[in-house]
Amino acid sequence: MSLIARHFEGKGLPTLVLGSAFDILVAGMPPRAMFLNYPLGFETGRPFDKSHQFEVVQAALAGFEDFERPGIKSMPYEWLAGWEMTRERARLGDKDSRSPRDMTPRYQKEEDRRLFEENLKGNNNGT
Amino acid sequence: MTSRDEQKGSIRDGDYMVLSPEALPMPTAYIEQTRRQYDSLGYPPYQWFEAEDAPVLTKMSKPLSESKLGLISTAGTYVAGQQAYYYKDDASIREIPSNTDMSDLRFAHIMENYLVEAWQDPGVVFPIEALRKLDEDGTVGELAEEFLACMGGIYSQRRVNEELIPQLEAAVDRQQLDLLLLVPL
Repeated sequence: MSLIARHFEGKGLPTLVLGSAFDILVAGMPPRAMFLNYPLGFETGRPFDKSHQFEVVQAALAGFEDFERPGIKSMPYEWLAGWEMTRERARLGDKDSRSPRDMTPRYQKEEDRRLFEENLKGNNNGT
Repeated sequence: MTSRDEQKGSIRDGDYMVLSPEALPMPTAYIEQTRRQYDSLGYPPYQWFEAEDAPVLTKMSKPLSESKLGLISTAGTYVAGQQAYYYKDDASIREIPSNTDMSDLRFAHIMENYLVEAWQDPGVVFPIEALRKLDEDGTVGELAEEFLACMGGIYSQRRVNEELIPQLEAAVDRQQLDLLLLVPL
């Protein structure tokens, strides 16, 4: 993501990264980054908490007007509970149970596959 | 006071400012963690981009409240009806209309073990509702017609540079954005 941010910033479009992997941000040095110290997968806030998600995104966007030189700023939010639980999912053990890394599209829901194939058929019929 | 704060954690002669978090827990060391795991699973090492120098900073041409804002997500976001991503270096992009209903948002990413909550509440990684609200209340001038998404787990930096970025750039150019928000998974 830092590579993409640097690319667009270099072309004259101001960018801001909102991320939760501190070491990956430090390595990539994006022009402007707001670091949210949450487990990965919650970069824009805690689940099922719309007002908190809104607050996080609002505070992050304020960062656009708050950088005089490139860098990473930490956001003042603390993960409340369950951090260890979410860390646990990073431990894959000696076997990776995730879907294989091949060229098969991995639909979140089986019905998504049917919907896409129907769209494809519709488009091929010259509509 | 500001300059003293900025000294803390500064890594490269002040060209690039890093303000480390003050609250515990310490940030997870993802690069080291992933290197160890992939090693023990027999996967090739994943190479994150490492910058060699500080980036340029482009000045904003107008305030946030007058700016047209775009979004790029690398969480593998797609809309029901679009093709999902595959897990082997998929460098394609999806255009997600910024008025898409939350219930039509989907995710496919090699780090699917981190998507458990996003599959139930897309707002944890793809801030479409928060951005719409910030547009309505005037914090943001305008939203891009289409937000952009891709699957961030691409091994080949050549493919990122030669395939992914040109597609993103064409889509960004079409929308004539003033600002770009990027949210990685």
